[in-house]
Amino acid sequence: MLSMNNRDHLLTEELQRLRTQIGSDFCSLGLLEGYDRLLKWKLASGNVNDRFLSIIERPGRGLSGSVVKVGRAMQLNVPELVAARQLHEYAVLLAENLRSAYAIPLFIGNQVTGILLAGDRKRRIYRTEERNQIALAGERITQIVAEQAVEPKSS
Amino acid sequence: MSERSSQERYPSENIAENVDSLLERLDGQIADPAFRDVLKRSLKQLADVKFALDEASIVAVTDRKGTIQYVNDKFCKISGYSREELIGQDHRLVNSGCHGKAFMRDLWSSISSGHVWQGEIKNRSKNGGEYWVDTTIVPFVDAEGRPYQYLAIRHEVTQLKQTEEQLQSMMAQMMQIQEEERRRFSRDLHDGIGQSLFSLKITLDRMISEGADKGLENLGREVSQLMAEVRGLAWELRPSVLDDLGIVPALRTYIENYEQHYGIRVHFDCNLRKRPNLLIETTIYRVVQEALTNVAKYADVFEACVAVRDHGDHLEAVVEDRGIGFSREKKGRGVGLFSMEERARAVAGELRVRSQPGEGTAVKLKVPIKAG
Ligand SMILES: Nc1ncnc2c1ncn2[C@@H]1O[C@H](COP(=O)(O)OP(=O)(O)OP(=O)(O)O)[C@@H](O)[C@H]1O
Ligand SMILES: [Mg+2]
Repeated sequence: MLSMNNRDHLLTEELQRLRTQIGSDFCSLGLLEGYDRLLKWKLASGNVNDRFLSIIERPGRGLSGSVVKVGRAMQLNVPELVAARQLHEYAVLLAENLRSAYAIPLFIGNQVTGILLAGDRKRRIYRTEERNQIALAGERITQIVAEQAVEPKSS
Repeated sequence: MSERSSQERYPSENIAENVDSLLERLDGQIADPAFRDVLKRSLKQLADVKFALDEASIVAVTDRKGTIQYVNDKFCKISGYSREELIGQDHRLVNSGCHGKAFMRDLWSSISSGHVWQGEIKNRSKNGGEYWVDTTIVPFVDAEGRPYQYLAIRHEVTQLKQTEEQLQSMMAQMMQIQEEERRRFSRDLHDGIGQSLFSLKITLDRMISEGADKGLENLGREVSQLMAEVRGLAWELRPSVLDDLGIVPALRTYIENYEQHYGIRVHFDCNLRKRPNLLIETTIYRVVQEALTNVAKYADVFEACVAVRDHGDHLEAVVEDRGIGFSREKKGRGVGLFSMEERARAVAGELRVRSQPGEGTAVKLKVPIKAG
């Protein structure tokens, strides 16, 4: 699937660590890429397949329209998304069969550069300390991303 | 009730017709008083039930061949024929001709093999007016199980049918209006806001190339993103390619975007050589869109198939997946499947959904077209 370079290795470790820490089913890192800054999922831990890798989030929709644009963390629940008729905009939830998720924006400077998402295949409310842990992991991940420039990968 | 006097015929073909005269003669015939009472009560019950039936429903009795032997007042009233005109005829007299041969064949093969038939029939009255009746036909069978008589019980449902038709035509119009609105919004977004953003972007690019402030580059980037969003929004509402280039390029673009968005591979197979009319194109587009969205939402698959084929007198669009499937009973309260059916109906087509838990789902749309 991926040829893991050092950076990816470190990031995957962070994702794995976070997943164990908060006991969630799935953690993934999405980065905004290219001039159009499209959100793509780069790495994950706990994924059931590789579909997340080929997902490109639509600009202004789903997480790109909420977490990225507003620059604030967000709790997602499938029943609420269904009720709001928005579930189809959250492709990564569908690909991984998640029922709940918590997504935070990753900042470099004052620009959002990506998203860290923790998700579960059952209904879950992320508590304050869990949210803090996600935020801390987000900071570590941002640091790794910022230190080692994003490699241009054509896929 | 009947005006025909057939007291001499025992048993009469008309249900419960002999009851009164039998009751009169029972006393002299049966010695056991207890048994006689039971018999009397049963006969009385039969007459009462018959009376109740006549009060409530449109009733007709025919013989094995379908010749009318009995009709009640309600039958005469709704059909506009007198009893004399009806008795001895068959139901072709009130046939509206709106049900095809196959429909009648099914009906007859069902009742002549001793099964109860139930359905809605459109009839024509003597003065030419049409009426709908919800119909139950019960065969009376002999000892060998062969029907010798048919009892038809009907209730008028004309108003219900008319309301249903009105509702359907209203729905078709609503969908048409919705499509037109979407087309208009899409154009306005694209040509209005989209164009303005484009000029803004060009101005910014010029300023940047003339060595303006670094901050403008970020602004330029944000404007591009905004443009992409507006383009996406316009496309989601209604892709202009559908109007400009037709269903095939529109579906190709849709599928390309779909694959990117959901990470689901779609095999697209199409043999259309010319464009059907726009209404049909819209129907196909929306049905495929809805069905593929369902695949992404529920099927849990890596790939799906879309086929659009020209069969000469009709077009067929099929969306298929090998995913988790579903059963009709547990289907949710969504409007997707329902709206697909309505869309199909609005172009005189039909929509079939085949699905089994664990076996996947196939949505098939068939639309008649003028051949040639
Ligand atoms: N391809 C499919 N695979 C598995 N289940 C499906 C599929 N298509 C439909 N279903 C089931 O059928 C139900 C009804 O689908 P429908 O499109 O009518 O509603 P919906 O998608 O839930 O809501 P809406 O379309 O209104 O947003 C769904 O809730 C789902 O359970
Ligand atoms: Mg649906």
